[in-house]
Amino acid sequence: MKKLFVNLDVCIGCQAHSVACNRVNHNVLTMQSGEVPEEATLPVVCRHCESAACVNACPNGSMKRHDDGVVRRSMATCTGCMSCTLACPFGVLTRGMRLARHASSKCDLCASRVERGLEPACVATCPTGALQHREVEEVYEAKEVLVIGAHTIGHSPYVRRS
Amino acid sequence: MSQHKNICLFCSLGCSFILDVERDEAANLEYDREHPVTKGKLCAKGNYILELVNHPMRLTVPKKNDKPVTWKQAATEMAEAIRSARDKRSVAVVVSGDASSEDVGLAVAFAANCLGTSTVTASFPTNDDKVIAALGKTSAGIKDATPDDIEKSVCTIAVGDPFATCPVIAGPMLAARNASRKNSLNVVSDEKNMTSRFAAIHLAGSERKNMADLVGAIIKERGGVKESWQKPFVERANGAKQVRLLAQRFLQSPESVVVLATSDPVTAQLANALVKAAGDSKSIYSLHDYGNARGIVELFAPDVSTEKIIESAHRGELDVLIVLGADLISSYPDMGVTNAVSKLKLLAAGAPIANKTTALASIVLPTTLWMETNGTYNGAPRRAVVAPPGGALSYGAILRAIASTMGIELHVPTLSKMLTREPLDESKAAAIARAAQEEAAPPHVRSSATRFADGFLTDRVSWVKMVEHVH
Repeated sequence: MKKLFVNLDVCIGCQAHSVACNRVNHNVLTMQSGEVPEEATLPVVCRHCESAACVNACPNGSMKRHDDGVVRRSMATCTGCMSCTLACPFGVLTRGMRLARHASSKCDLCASRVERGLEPACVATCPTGALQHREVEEVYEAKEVLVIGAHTIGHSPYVRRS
Repeated sequence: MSQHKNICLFCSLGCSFILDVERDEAANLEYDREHPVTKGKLCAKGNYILELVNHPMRLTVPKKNDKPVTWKQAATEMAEAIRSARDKRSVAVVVSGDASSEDVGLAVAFAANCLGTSTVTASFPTNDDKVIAALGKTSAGIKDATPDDIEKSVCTIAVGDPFATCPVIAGPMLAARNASRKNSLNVVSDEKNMTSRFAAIHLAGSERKNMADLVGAIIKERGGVKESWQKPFVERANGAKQVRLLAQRFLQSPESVVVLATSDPVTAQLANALVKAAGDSKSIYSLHDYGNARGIVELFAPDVSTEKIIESAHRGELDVLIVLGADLISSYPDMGVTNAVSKLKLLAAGAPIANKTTALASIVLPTTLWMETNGTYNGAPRRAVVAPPGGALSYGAILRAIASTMGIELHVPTLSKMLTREPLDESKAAAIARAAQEEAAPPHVRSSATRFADGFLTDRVSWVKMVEHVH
């Protein structure tokens, strides 16, 4: 199962991922940027949680966790009730106003690009290679996981070496 | 659908990308993972290229006073204005930094054949031409770093904020920093910024003063200076210890690089002095080093800069100004360009998309982007892959049209002719650089900063001799 990882050691907060994501997903904002003031910056991106709060909160079952580990939203059944945006503990889901039916925007790890053997747009554009699309097991085995969020690799900003 | 490799000319790095073209229109942008240097990475601005090409507000027809005219009418209008100008010094041409080498060559030929002068220059963002002058004319004997050098650098000193100005360069810089525990990234900048967050040593405060202190500390480290002279430099600094530590690190680590992201010419000269004082195997990577335009400024019009042209417009000496691609009002916000161009008889502005300068121009010309015209960009020939919108012409074609209305045939100067040009006069270069310093440096900095720079600039002596000279 492949997921997005962020290497906080090299994230410079340039927000290129946000622009690339917008471009590929037809001007729907699915990725934002966060900042720990004077310590670190990081992209705010869907973590595709194992027990996802948005899936549990969705009243008509349009938010689903699929077998490949990706939480996807069905455009056909989404009514835009915004329960998922309230439920998301990371503040990732936002209301994509440009979509028909006022449905919320949702990262699907660039399914259409990955099918063609490409990387998700945010990973492809990331100038420092901070965003990575990697096998979860591979990262866990390499013991690269440290602090902040489940999917953060590299040194913690708080123990950054000088 | 066909795929074409192209480069981004928004900044000086020239990152590579792939353009998917369908029926002569740009359909999609893809990341070029095979590129050896940038590996397909694009910054936030670079991701907007497709939007720029397909922008609904692209200019398509030439206009005179907001009314569409034909290219012939526009060219005749400009040719007449040039003919009726007071003298040959009252006409000037400014070409954008993203023009191809051929187009700038044509601009030079245009100036020589039609105007009889050399009032032509390529435009850069604020102060960049000064930085290029400061670096280009003093860098004799100093190695120009490549991205490879940055990736191998043990002790990198970043001046300014390279991560914010060119994010793609952050990749190799951070790779070098994280490659070994001994490696370090250090920053000299006025205040905290994106880059300083990753710095082992961050010298905050005045950029110039810190650079001067650093040069002083390095000279002291190498034992080339008397204690009494050196003392006021380092001891008075805010982080005297840090300055000394950084100087030691930079000296001891071979293959170190100074990454320059400042638009201050004095700081650029000090960076030159720093590298020269530190000795072998140190190099400079300047982010304000526009590959296309740097050569033109140094070869053809070393005395002309966009700022000088704006100043002469302020004094009322200019009658006609032809601006191609550049947005002077946005690029030089402190120079009162609006005021200056109001004194002109004719302002003709060409741009792909309407900007603040075209809003003031009486003749507005639609121009092409770099993927819509053939030419040499950053040293590599590229051909047009996308059809320009409507009647947009390249900078060179516009100048050719004006010249042919005046009955003159323009030819691009050949490479051999460019190369056999006489090198720039040494004393002249020093005078230009000194004039730039006098303008830029406040009195309290001048004493320390410019003395160093002067030593390296004018006398070309070794650093020990230079110190004696300053004494």
